[in-house]
Amino acid sequence: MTDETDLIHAAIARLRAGVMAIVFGGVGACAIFLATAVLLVQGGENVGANLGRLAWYLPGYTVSWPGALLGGVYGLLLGASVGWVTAFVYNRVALARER
Amino acid sequence: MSEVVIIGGGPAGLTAAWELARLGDTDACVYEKDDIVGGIARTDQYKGYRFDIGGHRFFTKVPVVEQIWHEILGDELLTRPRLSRIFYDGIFFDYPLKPVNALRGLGLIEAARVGFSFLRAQAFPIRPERTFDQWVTNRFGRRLFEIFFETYTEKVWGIPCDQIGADWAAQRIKNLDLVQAVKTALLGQRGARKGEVITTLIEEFEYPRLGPGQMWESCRDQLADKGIPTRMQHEVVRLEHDGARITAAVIAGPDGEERVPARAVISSMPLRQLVHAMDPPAPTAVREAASRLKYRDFLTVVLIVKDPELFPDNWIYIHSPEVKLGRIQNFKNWSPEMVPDPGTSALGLEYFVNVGDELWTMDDAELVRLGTRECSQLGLVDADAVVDGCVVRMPKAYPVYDQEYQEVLATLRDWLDPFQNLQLVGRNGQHRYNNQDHSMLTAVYAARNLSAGGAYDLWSVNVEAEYHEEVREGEAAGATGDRSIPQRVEADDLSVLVRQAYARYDVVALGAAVATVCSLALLLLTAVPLVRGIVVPGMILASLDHYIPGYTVSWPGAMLGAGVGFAFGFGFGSLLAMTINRFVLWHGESLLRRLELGRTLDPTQGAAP
Repeated sequence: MTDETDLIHAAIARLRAGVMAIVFGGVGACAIFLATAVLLVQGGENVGANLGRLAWYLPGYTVSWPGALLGGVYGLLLGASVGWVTAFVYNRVALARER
Repeated sequence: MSEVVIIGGGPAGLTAAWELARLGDTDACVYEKDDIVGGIARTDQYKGYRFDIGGHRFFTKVPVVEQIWHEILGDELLTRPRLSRIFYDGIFFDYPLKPVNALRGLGLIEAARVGFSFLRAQAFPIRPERTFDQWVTNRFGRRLFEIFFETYTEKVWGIPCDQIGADWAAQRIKNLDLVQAVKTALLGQRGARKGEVITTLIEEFEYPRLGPGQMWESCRDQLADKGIPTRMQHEVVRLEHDGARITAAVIAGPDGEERVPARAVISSMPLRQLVHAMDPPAPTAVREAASRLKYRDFLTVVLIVKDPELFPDNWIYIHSPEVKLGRIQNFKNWSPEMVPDPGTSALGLEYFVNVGDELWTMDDAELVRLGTRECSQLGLVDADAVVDGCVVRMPKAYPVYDQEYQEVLATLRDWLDPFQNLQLVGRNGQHRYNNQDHSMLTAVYAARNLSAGGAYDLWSVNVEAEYHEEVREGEAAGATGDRSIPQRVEADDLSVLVRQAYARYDVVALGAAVATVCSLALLLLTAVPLVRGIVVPGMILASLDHYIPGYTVSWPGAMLGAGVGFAFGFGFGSLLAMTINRFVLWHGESLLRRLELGRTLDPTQGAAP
């Protein structure tokens, strides 16, 4: 093989931590916001009895419209953290394996 | 009158003469400095016991070589069963190494160490891979390297494995795929890769009735009848040249020196020696480079043992570090006629040495005592049963592949290649670790270049990265001797480019990344309520024990969750990467099909639809 194709062949995909953080953060924000919003729109008695337990982990969160917004922010931060950590660990391990 | 000067009466030199005779060019002479032919494929004798310098199986995939063997010896070639094993820590292991057998022999704890070490090597291979130990460790794991490669290799070469080039490992070690081997062990041939069904390891080989020396003694005698003499105890000490051709060889024999005009020279003498024999001398840089070529020398201690059947092996590799002994040949198992008294056996204890070192200079009687003591120490021979012994020393048995030999070879070839009538053949002639058959093939080609107008590249023989002994389904046992050279991918090879143009996800890395996230998630899921003192209703988090047996909302539960999360995450992440890679590959293939279709339909390509 030529040097160029050798290089291509050896190419291992890298994850861009910033992009991963944005994507996972967006998904996390949407997930919590929508999960809360759907319950609020459906209404009924004792709305969000189970989802409200997220407050154990997300201080201040409630199943309410302000809570949905706060949950969205939490989701953004958590998702971004997950995305960033995933990319960071992946790139480190991939780099170590290449050496 | 000038002649073809053939330097060396080993397999390469005598084969060159054989092929020249076949081509009708008998104006040639073989010069052998020793008083016995065969080089390191000779057979020595002691009180009627015959023994090899090392063991020389007559096995080849090169038809022309096989044909020559049969032309020379005919029915005198026996077909012999092969058994060779590795001896380590008092246990015999199969050779070539079979992973399941090796792991069974090592015991549970050592097998676990080997397994972890293998996984680690797979996860974190050493890059770049430059040395022997790195090559082996990357494929077998560090622990297996230490047990089955390090000790023996260092015995053979006398230098640490981190100073031996990786290309030697690639050439000489069958690249065992441990995962594939386990699959094959569990699933039989269904576990083997498509198209790579290994049908046999070579479990039989041919061997002359009286040892390999019989082949070369007979060859020498038949050559004399054909008109090509072999002059024993005649050493080529100088090669006169005019810068473009070798003009004459100066030969030193029992009656003094003589000058022989040379029409051509086929040399199997050690390359280092050849360069220093050139007259006028080679440039200083070339001579210095030649001096940097290294060789490993060898001595055999022959023990005659009053025991008709010691062990069933032809030879045993001794990996045990507590003895200096490297390998044991049981000559009676090569051919029963190697031993004159059926009530005895003859063993060849092989020590890999350097000329002038402690073992090389040791008194023969002391060497026999050393060999007896070590065999007894290993439990292979009863010391009292050893009735006699002798010693044979063989200098320059192996060319050493150290980290600079390729650079040195390139320098020497740059200077030697322009000599139009000089061809280098054989193991030492090319400083290449050829087996007998490849040495012979270089000689056949040299003769054809000389007398049949051939244009063979002698340096392309035996250049495959791997040395193959197994026969695969669909591959003729007598496949071409023109061993293929790895080809470069053509720049316009669309399929290869498309397949390679997609970066793959690293399976282990994505597994590790997802594992980290899952592990942290499960840890925090339990730890946060515990830290905050929240009383968790039993049905919520505790229901995780459906998936994680033993899980509770407690600190031990948090740790258990983290561990299981890691394992699950690793599996999920790896699977994800493999799936993505598979889809990416599929996408590449479909792109390729579309491109190929576009080419076919493109009238400018000149192909009809």
